[in-house]
Amino acid sequence: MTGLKLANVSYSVAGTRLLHNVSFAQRKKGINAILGPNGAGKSLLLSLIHGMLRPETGQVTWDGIQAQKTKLLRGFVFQTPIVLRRSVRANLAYPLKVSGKSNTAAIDSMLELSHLTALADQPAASLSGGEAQRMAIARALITDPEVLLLDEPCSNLDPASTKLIETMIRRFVAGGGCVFITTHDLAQAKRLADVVLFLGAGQLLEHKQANDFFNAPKTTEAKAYLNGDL
Amino acid sequence: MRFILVLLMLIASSTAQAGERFITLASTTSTQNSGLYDYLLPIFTAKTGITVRVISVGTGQAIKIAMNGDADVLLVHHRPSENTFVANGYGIERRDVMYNDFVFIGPKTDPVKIAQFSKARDGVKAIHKARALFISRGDESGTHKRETALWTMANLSPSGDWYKEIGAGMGAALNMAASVEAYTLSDRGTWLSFGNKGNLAMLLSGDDTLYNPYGIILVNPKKHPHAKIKMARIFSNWMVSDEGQQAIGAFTVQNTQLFCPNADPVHNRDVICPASVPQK
Amino acid sequence: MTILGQAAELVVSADAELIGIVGLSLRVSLSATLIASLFAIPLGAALAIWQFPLRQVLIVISTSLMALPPVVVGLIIYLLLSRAGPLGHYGILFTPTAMIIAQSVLIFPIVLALTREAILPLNRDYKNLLDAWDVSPVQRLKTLIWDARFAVVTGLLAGFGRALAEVGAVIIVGGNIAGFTRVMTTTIALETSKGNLQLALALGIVLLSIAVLINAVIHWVGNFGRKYQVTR
Repeated sequence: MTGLKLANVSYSVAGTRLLHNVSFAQRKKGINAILGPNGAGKSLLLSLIHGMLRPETGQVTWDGIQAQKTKLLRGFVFQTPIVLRRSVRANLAYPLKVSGKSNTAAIDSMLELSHLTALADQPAASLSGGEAQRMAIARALITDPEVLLLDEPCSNLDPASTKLIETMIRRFVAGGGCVFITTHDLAQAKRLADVVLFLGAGQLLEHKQANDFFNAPKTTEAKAYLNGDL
Repeated sequence: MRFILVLLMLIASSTAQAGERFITLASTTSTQNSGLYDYLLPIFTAKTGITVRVISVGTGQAIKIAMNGDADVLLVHHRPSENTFVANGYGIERRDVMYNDFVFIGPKTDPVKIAQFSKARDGVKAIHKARALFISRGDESGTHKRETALWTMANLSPSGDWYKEIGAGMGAALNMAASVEAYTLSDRGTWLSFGNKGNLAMLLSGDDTLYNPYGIILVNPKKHPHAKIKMARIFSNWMVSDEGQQAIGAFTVQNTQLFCPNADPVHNRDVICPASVPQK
Repeated sequence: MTILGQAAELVVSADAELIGIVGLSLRVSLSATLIASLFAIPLGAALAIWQFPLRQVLIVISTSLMALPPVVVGLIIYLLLSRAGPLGHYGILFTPTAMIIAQSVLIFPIVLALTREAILPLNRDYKNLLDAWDVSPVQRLKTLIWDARFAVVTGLLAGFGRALAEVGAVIIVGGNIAGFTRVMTTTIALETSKGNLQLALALGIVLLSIAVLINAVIHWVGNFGRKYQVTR
């Protein structure tokens, strides 16, 4: 079975169950948006899909293998970019260093892609929010992952940065990558998503093509959410 | 600056601990602080090539160090303790080396007027009666043990606000006596070479109860096989030899001889001891 | 002569004995700092990063040990190194080596506690990222220690300062032997006990100046590094 598969996945934090019996399968392609109101469990689901969290019950597998075991095939971008106290270039080089590799060409091209070449040798801590997030995406992509997961990457950014980041995402997908992204920005979701997974109170309520979801949501929760009532 | 350059060189250089011939001498602060060893030991080292590393602490601590075998030779000034040390098998070949005396120090103004006395007994009685401020070393040193003996001989047991037991060395005692203008008992050598006399003066001396003899003892190799008995013996022999004894007698501070050599009191040594230092 | 004048004269005349004493002080305290840090820095970082049983106990103990009286450390090491003690046959007592050992023990808790303090906030920041990449424990230690290096060095300097300034430990295990185990602090103590208070103070000023010089150099190196953000 190729692609992502969740089977009866649940997860609790501090005794409270936040994800209930989530099951679905998704092929490894395109942009998949995870939507839902606050507290629905979107970030949690994203972390489980990546493999950095282990499900309490059930299984998360990629191509039949437990997600935890193949973490390094997937890149993750956090809502607030985590910046290593080093130069931008050193930040990009870090994931390669960790696996004992180095690839100056890849770093240079990533710097180009994220429009950060001019800032390459600046301390990453001095970057603006948008620049830091672009760096984080470039850093996540430097190891040539199959899948990129982004947790509300543009929530604090201005439209220009958002546009740049969406360009980077589309480029990645055009090159054969698969994306999972959580977002509150419905306009962004409409722009980017091929598939939508809609979560409500820890349960997967809808899973369909983006067009279908936006034009004809089935559940009341989804309708309310799209209306701005949730 | 030259200083910085030399500093950097020193930090960079590794430990240069040559195959030095050395012995460890456990001795007292009174002999060290007077400057005797700084004067005496280079003469010995030049002659024999043996370096003497001096650990100078209170008599009690010096004896403990020798008992533990952390020294090769002991030089202190408390005969009863020395005898016990030898009797318990820790030391061998004890010899007399030199002597000086203890002196009473006090404020120049001498409120209790002990300077009029020639006997220590009268001095302590007067101090006790007047409850004059007195600094006691209180550290089981040779000086402290003598001070305690003086009170006992006068049938007195000092206690109260005026009697300050500081549990420290002679220097600390003198520093304190200088700053609060108190009386104290010191050995002559430390007093003469002391750099902070302030308003203190030597007030009472010359009584034979103030006689202060020093003994040198070798650490017993039967108890401590690692002890450098051969070199220690060379040192001990030199200290009681003509040359060593002459050197001891030749050591002066401010033109005053501090120690009287007495290894062989019978043999005439042509060494002049200050008249005020009692002969015994 | 004023005390400052005397201090200046001591420095300018660069008397051989004084240079020896200063050199030994630096050698002993620098060596002790390096040795202690070799263990304390990775251990302090580990305390900051990982949960393990007894962690809280270790943290309380290590923080309290920062207040270890040097003379107590000196006594313990003396008892260990004395011929009458378990390690006596090495004959290390009353040598600079014994002094380095004693000061290493003294500094260790300081560098441990301060390294932990330095790494804690950084680990909080980096944790999710490093978890996502499955960074190995050794790599995690290296990454955090390097990125927190300025704060870690500050801890190191604190340890060094403590070593340079202490007298209780080195005087017991070193014996203050002239020309062999005599350092700045024990010389100051000795001159004080001889009543040469002005000389003692002048020596104190020399000691202080050296400490200031070293701290200034490290600070400048730090600024230089920060400014040009040495990349790795």
